[in-house]
Amino acid sequence: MKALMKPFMKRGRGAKQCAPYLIRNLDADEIANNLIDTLPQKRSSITVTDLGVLVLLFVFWFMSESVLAGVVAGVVEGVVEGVVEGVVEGVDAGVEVSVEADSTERPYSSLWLRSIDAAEPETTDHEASAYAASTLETTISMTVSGPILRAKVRQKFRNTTQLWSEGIYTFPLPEQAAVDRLRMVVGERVIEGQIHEKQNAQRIYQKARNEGKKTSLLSHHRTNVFTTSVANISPGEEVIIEFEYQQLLDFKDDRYALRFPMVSTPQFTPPRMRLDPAFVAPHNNIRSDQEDPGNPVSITVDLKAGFPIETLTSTSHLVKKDKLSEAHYKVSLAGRAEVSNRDFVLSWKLKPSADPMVRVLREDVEGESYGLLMLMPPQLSEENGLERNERINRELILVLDVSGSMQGESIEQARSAMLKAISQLRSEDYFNIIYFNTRARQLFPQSRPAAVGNLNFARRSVLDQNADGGTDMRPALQMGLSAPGESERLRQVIFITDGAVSNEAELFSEIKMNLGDSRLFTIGIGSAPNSYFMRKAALAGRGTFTYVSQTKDVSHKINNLLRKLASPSLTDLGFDINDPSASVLPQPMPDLYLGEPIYVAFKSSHFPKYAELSGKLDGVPSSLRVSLQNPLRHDGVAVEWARRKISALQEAYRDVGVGVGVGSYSGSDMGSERDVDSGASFGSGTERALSSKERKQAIRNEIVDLAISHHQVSKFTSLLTVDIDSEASMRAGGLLKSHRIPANRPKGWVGTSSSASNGIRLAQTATDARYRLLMGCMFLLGGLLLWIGFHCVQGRTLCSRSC
Amino acid sequence: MLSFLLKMLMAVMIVCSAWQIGSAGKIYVKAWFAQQLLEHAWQRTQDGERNVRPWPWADTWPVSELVVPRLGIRQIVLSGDSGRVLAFGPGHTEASAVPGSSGMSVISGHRDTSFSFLKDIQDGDLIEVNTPADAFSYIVSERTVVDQRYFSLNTHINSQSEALHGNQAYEASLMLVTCYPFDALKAGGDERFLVLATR
Repeated sequence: MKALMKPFMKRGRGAKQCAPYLIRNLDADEIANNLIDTLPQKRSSITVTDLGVLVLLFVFWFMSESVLAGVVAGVVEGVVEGVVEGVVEGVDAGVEVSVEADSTERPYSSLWLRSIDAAEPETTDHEASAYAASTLETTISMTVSGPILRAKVRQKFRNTTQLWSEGIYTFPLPEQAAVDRLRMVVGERVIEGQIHEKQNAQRIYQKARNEGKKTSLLSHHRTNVFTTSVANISPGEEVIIEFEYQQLLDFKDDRYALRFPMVSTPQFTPPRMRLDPAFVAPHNNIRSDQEDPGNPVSITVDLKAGFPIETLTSTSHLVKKDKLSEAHYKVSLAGRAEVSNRDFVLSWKLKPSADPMVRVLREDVEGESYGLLMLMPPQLSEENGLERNERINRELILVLDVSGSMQGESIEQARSAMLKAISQLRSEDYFNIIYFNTRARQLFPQSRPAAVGNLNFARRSVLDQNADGGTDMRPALQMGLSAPGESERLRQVIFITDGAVSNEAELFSEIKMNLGDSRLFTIGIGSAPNSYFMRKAALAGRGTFTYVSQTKDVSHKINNLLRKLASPSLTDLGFDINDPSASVLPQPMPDLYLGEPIYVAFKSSHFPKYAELSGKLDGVPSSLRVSLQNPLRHDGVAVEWARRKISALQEAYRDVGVGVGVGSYSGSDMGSERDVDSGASFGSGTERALSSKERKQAIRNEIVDLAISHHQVSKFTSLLTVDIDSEASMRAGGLLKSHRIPANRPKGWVGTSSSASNGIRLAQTATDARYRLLMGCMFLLGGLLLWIGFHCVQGRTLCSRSC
Repeated sequence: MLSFLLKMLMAVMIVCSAWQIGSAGKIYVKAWFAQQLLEHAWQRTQDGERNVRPWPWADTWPVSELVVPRLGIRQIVLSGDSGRVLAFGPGHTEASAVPGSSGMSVISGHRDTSFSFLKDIQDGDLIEVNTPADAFSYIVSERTVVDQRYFSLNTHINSQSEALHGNQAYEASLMLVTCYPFDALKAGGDERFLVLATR
């Protein structure tokens, strides 16, 4: 091999040494002087011998290269090309050929199924900032009315290129958002969006896109992630996409909380999932840390709480608050347009005296009555809840995510949350800690009592944790939920993570399968946790979800959670409005803990007068009759009911698939526990009769019908606008450039960024052939010119001498 | 002395030119030469052999045959799409679907050798892919230019078939990938020209 490489190396060096001569000789006077001294008989020796040798050399080299190409391809090519490249560039500079030599050699590996954490050679990151294709500005105006929030989101796509373009933006929305309006604003005109079955919408969009018509599509990408696409934006044009969503606000610990996610933390997918054809790679189109963050967002909130507000704060952003009355505020971001790199959080507390225990909302749509009940069970109010059950025997398992996505602020928050939780343990508690990234490990082989020695050992181990590696939650969940423990104790598993996973469905079934009598509580950490996952995981685990946005909140939030865990809970809840045809959601109802209200949405042909609420308070049955007289008429109740119904059906749909997809157990087993009963027709009776495919199809049809009649975006429906009047011929078959607008890095997130996401990378599909051909011709031409010049000058010299 | 320098200069010029033209020629000859060897390997593949290596040290083998009747193109597609494979001919991305099966098959080729014909392709053109077992035809439905830094195949192109994903696998489709613009001189650009063809 060495022998083969030798001639190339040698030639390379030779050429390099020649380069200085080359530059010097370009001086015109010098050339003339040289030529005058040259003798005529030496001329022939150059032509015949030297050229002959050179041609032979060239032919030999060319042949050897092409014939032996296969043999030496792998090893030699790299070396040779490196040398040649260097030479060519050196020569380039000397001759001042105006061809830009691009020194950025891209790796030839073209298919990358990369994990977020794998360090990949990134050669183009620094160029990315120069790549301003389409830009995007977002304006969000929210109106809060009691517990219901309605938001209008305006995304302004601007095409800054010289080509017609398609802008695609993927973004998260709150996990309980129901998207039901879409408008496209082109200049003066407003085109109202229509709801379509998703495939259908996609087809219409593609058709309009190819025909050159302006069109936009808003579709559900995965879980709480949505995508807007706008096709055929002409150069320099602006198109505004406006959509609306509604959301029911969380009420917990006497506070309403509004959270608007602005970025999603890049998600990790265990390797085995990636080749699964059913798997959709997450959109991790993230700007690198060298890039300036873009996508400015401005937010205004019109807050009509309905009752006097005591405190109003945002823990995430600096806000400007305008007080219009006791119960009415206008809130906006103090910095005009914020960079969308962390979630927006706003929370407010009502004055205690005004805070009602019961709130009933009603809306009538097309002959149907929809109701929404918010109720704070009196047994769970703080005064009588706390002391009585101080002595629940419990076993607390703390599970901490130490994967790469937690790097930075998140792991700091998580550490302090863990330390806080450890310090809150009572001496009669048992506890254990599980750390996980790609693997899961237990601190103790079995839970141990919270004695001083054990606690100190645990504290030290918490401080030693660093965030690194992938996120594979499955083993950790298995370990946490099904580890052998004290059978008489209530096992409470506290899961601290940013939820950056994308195999959610698999994890939910894991939780349902292993839960038993344990309870799973999730704590979301970081500036942009995947709260969809954590909320659903807590629901599946019959626990609650807590979101911690800032390190200073940790102590307070963990305190609340642990107090909740130590106090009684209301389980096996039932809600009856004495109408068999009514549809009540959620179904089944989650357990209630201290400081949490019940939210129930129902649909009935006539609005009920009262509701019967039953449940078990720490195992003791109790019931309560709630009057539903004098409901407050309010918009959006029907939307909320439909959203809950669609969400429940989507879960049922997912669960049918999981049994088949994962293959480790049958679908009907896990379905019976909680979620499948959401559609009355899919109860256990018919379940076995239908194949899973038919069941899926039936649920799918039900979702499509419901979503279309309520005009909502779902897994199977999308909102679409097509501008029929647009000048279709303008683009005239020209190319349309597709721009994916990259998202910002979550604040404090220091993981390895890649502008390209998981999934198949495109191959490197060009060679230098033309460039080399051009360069070759130029050298040849140069040589030829020199040759001619040489002849001419010598001819003249001879001539003048003879004369 | 000065005439010697001049001779050196000319020699250097010619050597450099030989280099450049030679290495350009090498790229074309390699592609041409390989297709000849591949022809033989493809014949054997069609006769039922599996993973026939066209030359003993090859790390790739023919998997199918790509035909565009309108442009008179016929090429043998290799397995894999690494730089080494693409030097010999178009390559099939192994992580994508096998041609003919449900899902998207991705075939990449150099814009200046095997896939230079893509600049002439039009919507509605017929593309045939013949595997040893069967023959499939696709119709070109879309041509797009993307920036590969902001592009990942799973997520974007499949979005139209993603609706199906809930139920089934993706619809069968074919994607041809090459570099863009076609007349760029240097390799290493970020733009890709994509041709999507559906059955």
